[in-house]
Amino acid sequence: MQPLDYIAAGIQAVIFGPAAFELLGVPIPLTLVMVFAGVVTGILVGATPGLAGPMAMAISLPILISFFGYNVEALLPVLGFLIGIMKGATLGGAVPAILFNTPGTPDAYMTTLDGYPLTKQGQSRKALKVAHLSSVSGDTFSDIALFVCAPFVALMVERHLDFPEKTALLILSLSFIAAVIGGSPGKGLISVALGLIAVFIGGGEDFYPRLSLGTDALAGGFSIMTAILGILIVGAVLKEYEDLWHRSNLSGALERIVDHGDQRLTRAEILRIAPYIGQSSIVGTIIGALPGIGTTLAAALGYQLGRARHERRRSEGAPAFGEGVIEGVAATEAANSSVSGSNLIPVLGLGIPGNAAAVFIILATDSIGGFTPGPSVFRFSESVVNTELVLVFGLFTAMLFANLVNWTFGGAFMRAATVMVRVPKRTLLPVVLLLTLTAVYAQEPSMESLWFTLGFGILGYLMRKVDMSPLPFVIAFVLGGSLENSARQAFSATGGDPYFLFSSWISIFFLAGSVVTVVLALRQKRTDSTQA
Amino acid sequence: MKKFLALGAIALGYSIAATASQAEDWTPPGPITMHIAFPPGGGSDSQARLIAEELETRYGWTITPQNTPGKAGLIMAKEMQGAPTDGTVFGMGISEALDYGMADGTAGMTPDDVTPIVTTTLAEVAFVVPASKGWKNFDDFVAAAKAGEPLRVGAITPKIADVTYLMGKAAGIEMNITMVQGGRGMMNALYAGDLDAGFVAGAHSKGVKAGELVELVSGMSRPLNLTPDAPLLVDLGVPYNLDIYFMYFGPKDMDGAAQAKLAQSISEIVLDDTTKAGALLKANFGGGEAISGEALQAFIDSSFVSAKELMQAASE
Repeated sequence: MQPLDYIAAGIQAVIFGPAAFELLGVPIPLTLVMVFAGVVTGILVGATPGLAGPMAMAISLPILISFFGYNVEALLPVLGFLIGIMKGATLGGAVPAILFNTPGTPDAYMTTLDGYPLTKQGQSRKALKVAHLSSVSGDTFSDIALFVCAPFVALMVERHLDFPEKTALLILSLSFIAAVIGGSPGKGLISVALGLIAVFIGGGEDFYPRLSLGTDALAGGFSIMTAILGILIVGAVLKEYEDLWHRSNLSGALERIVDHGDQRLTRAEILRIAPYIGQSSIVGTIIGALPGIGTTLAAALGYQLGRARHERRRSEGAPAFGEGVIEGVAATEAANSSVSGSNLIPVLGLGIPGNAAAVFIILATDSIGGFTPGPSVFRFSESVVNTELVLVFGLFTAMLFANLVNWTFGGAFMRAATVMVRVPKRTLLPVVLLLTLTAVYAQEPSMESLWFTLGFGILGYLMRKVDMSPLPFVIAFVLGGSLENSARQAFSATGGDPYFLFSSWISIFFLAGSVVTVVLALRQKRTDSTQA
Repeated sequence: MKKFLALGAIALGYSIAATASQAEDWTPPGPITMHIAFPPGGGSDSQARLIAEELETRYGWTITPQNTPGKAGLIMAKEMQGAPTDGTVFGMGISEALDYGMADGTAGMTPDDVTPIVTTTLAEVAFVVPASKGWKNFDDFVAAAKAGEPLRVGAITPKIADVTYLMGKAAGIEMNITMVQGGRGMMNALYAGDLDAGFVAGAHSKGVKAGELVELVSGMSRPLNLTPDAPLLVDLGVPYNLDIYFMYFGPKDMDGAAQAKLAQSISEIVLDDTTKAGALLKANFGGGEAISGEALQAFIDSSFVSAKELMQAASE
């Protein structure tokens, strides 16, 4: 098969795949239905303060798998739904930020800076339109970067990286994530270490299950679902409960400001915000491609660069960033949305997740057969069909369709999602907790897994109490197995060389990079605290 | 004496007939938990799940598949200790868990601690190299190994690693033997050029048909389906083989009627190419192979002894 045939086969896998139902005799492809449902769910979840895209992805993954099964046919519908959530949530996050000054997702904080002032000026619908346009443009740009770059990254890795280099690259990714997430490199490293310890329980090559204290319960290790859902969701729910305990729930009594004036987005305004969207899309895409640096930083950087640009061009007396300018909304929304496509570059090219959303894409492919992200996916084999490559193009098709849904219906759903801001947390939290435990039990029907989930939930809560980001834990848990395997493989493939990590310049470069990242982050932190 | 033997034969005949009719009548007293000794998603997991689906369809039983992977199936074997013996708990793993996995004693179990039920197929184990290397047969491989750096060879289980080591020892070559995760891990490493060769258990057949991989040696005690001319291990001076069966087993002292009914019903499914499970086995392994009862017990007993010898030989 030629490359073009692979692209065609991928599109066909989506369009002519299993049908969800028939509409006037025309079969409606299941994958497209799932993408649509995912986008809608994502927008609603993003618009709900206290919920976030990765949470919805975490809860839906086990439920989807128990519904669709583990066979390869399940892959595109399940991934389609997850990607729909990922894309919808960034769009939905802008809704409460603009309307009520409450960011629905952490990365939407910067959107409040100009979005809410616009609402106060009676321009909320215009602000939502700007957010919609910028978000979807950034997202589409980022997807195109993914489609072009992922195969090259994968091929480069396959050509140049051997077992020792792959091990060094994983070490670099982990230290990078520890250094940049959460603002404290020390806490980030502890979080990574805890994740590695947890994943190493029960593993190893020896017949005696490692670190299991002689108990059968620990002999099989912790399953990835109990660890991740526990840390990410149960931990967050417990912390939210504590916050509720301390303050009354205010979300029921939000003030709604009535719009007035022209809410249309004119061609001149679109041309005015276009450079901001372009600039932020590039920033967001680059940041998204680096593992660990999330949407929040992309939004902050996009906003800063936008402000600098706006200051240079601003006429005397015109409103500045922060006083309610549409350029401010455009700069943040384009930046935080353009992370989502490019953060799949390390996922598809290397099998390394860069953020929480990507973790669930990896988990889905791990759980469902027939597709292992990594270099071998992009083998354009001519004599025999590389089904994984067909699936990648199917996935790209699903992403493009999700963008199409966002372009066409996204705006309307955003306006409809305003109702979610009013859901009181005391109703929301028990529902999330129940759904999480159901999701865990659906995948692993044993009481042990529920206990483990709750245990990890308490750990996640304690980590949040001490301001330690749980994300490095999660990514370390996901990558720990690969790290151990590639280190073992590198050791034996080099004939038992204990210095295998120093066997090539590439691997020494990666190792040096991991040390430098942590040192730089520590110095940055020290400078920040001295200035404060 | 003759009379005694005759009585014995009659008694045995009665007991067999009784077990057979009990087996026909047997239905599980509750929902069944079917453990799967592989991580979810791969070909082996699909095999077990498809068999579970077909059992549910044919007999109306309720079966919950549960993945209990780890240690080439030993974790699942441990799960059988103390499990109900009424046929509501059993699992699918590989025969290596019962022979090599238990042979050195560290597992704290012997094959007598479980009840073998039935095999589903013999894994098509072959020593495979990428076609791009240009090695047409095992002699070419040996010549390349003697000419340059030690070659990198993958192994997916500890038993395979030992046999690979002995094969190299017999040929007088050095190899760096590297453990990889499952058939898919091996395929990725071979295609990426990280490994030069390795024993694979079925995942390679598509690549061989496409001309991307070449089978050099049969790991089984019989010739390979796709490359029948490839030598057996015994031809290369290795007195062991890698006859690894996918098989079902349950807890020790499992109810005889349950064991017989499960063996019979699973055999029927795996030998029937029209079932999804049968079709999968046909595509990946050339078809199902159902061994049960005394024949299976004899295989387990002899391979347990042979695994002990293999371990000894590989540590010398």
